[in-house]
Amino acid sequence: MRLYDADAKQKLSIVQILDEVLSQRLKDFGFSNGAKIETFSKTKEMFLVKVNNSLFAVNESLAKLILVKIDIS
Amino acid sequence: MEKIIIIGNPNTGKTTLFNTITKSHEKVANYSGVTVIEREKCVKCNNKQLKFVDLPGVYSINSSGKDEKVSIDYLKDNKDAKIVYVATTINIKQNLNLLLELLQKGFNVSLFINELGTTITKNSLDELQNKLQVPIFYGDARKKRKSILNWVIDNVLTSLPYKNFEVGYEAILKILEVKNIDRQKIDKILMHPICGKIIFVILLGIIYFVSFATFGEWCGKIFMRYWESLCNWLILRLAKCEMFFLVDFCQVVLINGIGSVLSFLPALFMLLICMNILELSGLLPRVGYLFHINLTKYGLSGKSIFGMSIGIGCTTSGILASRNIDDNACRATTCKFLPFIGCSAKIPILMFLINGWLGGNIFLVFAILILTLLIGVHYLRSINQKNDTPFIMEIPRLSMPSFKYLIIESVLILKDFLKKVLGTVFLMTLVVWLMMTIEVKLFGEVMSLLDICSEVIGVLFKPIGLNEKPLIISLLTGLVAKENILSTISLFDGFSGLSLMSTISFLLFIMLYSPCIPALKCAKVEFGKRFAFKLFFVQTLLAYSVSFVLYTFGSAFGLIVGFVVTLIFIALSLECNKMFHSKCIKNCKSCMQKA
Repeated sequence: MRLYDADAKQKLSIVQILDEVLSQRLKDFGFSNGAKIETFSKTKEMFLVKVNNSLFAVNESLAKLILVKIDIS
Repeated sequence: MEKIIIIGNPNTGKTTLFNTITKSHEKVANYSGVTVIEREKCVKCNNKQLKFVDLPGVYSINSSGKDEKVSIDYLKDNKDAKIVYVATTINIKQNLNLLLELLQKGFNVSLFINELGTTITKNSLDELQNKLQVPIFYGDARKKRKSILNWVIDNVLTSLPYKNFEVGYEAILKILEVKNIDRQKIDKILMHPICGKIIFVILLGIIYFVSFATFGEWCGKIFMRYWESLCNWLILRLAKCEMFFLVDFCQVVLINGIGSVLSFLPALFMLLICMNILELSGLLPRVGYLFHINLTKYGLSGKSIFGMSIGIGCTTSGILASRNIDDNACRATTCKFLPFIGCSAKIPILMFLINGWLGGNIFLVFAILILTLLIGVHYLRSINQKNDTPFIMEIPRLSMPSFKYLIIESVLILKDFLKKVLGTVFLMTLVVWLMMTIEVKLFGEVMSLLDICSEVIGVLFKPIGLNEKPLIISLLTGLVAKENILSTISLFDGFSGLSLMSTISFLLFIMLYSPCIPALKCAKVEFGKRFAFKLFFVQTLLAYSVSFVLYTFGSAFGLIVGFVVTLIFIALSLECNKMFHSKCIKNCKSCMQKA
């Protein structure tokens, strides 16, 4: 799955989700192919991610699973 | 009777809609997972009897969360019921996921779009109606009850389920034009890792200070003056009729017993209003985000904050509220931590004893609350490893709490508190008073039933410096409801306290010992008999050992030495517990299987 955030000029890819329950939960939250995702601030080990109009707090271990930043600017 | 189920994603306004339609006052707040059990209420409209059911929010029909399971099971058992699906304008794209799942499974669904934060164009709405072919209502869930009810009767009740629903999610997304909402600017400060934490700690300090040291104290005194005049008026009437037994009852039970608990009513009301502002404005999830990393060290998570916040009102409700935590181990840890939080019943005891026996030092109240919390977190550290499970939590938009909801929510909790005081506490106070009054002859000596009881149990409490009858009995009645502790102590006229060390030992014991029976019952339902027994045993043992060490060393070498030795004792014993626990985990069968 590939996710693209035009504003931040970053490509965000869901790399691996081994847990089916977790995978389903993320899908329910709108973390799916084509969804607009923005990463806001990143505190120590915590991310703030905006999907569509919803803001989510995500911890590092989940962020490692779902988000990989590839700077294309 | 027609059954109408209200369902949707968490934090979309389902309970608000349920409250509007049924004129109920169920708890609402601005975060996901407030409703954790199903609620039903009947409404009569246009000669039709309708039964509305409010269910906890779900993200998907395949979800496995404890609260979500309640909804999914309910839906499966009521496949033929009409469903009102609640979505919000701001998150409609995300909310429609579950709607499509329900339509595909053949449920009879109507859509209620709750206008929240933004609007949807009429064009989009019409196209959505054409695509979905289900009844749609667009409006504010808090208003226009009559129109909503008419829509339910005319459209929801007459709608038919799809036999084969084939519209895809992508097709719906294309027709929806929803404005992209920017992040609120104030969040930059509130969710800043340092500023946010400082703001929250200051806010908490102000809440406690306003509730208990200023507003609460003044209003409590005024309230007590009126309560006493009311009881005195009753006493005069009863004395005129020569009903002296009842005069004594009024004096002891109503003024001393119940009055002492009621005097804290204004302070609790203020505390509840402040806590409700945190819940309704959406500040609480932000606190969860800020403290998540700190909490994971103790096996908790950011979502534990919701249970803890409600636990300040009542431990039993706190245990129920923790259902919204997905991870079972984390949920159990949150419940283990709740007894260490000063609940609305414990804080008045603390205030009363410190005001009456220790010169009214407000900082001593904070010191004891913080010491209890410290013992709690060290205890959790000794039994848990770092919680490193994937964590995701929705952060709602900040909103101004509605004044109406704020007052209703606080009054409702206060009503529950009053019910408890006038029910359980009154009954227990009456029992204790009767035990004080009824005398029997034992071994040639005339003794009251209470004397006999305290003589027998008193042996257990002597090592922690509690020789006095009122204290021993109050600890027992406190097991039924913590409010009983205060009312029982106040029953004994002329009892004005004990030595400094005994008082502090008593206070620490109250703050740490077992939760009340309703909370233990709730823990048994949620986690099983073993968990509830362990909760009772561990808390009481911890309370006893801490009080014992503090009293023994404090009496012999002074308060400061007593405190230092107690802290060393807590650190050492919990470290031993940690070693034992990690060894236990290493040898445990399930862990070996995992390995």
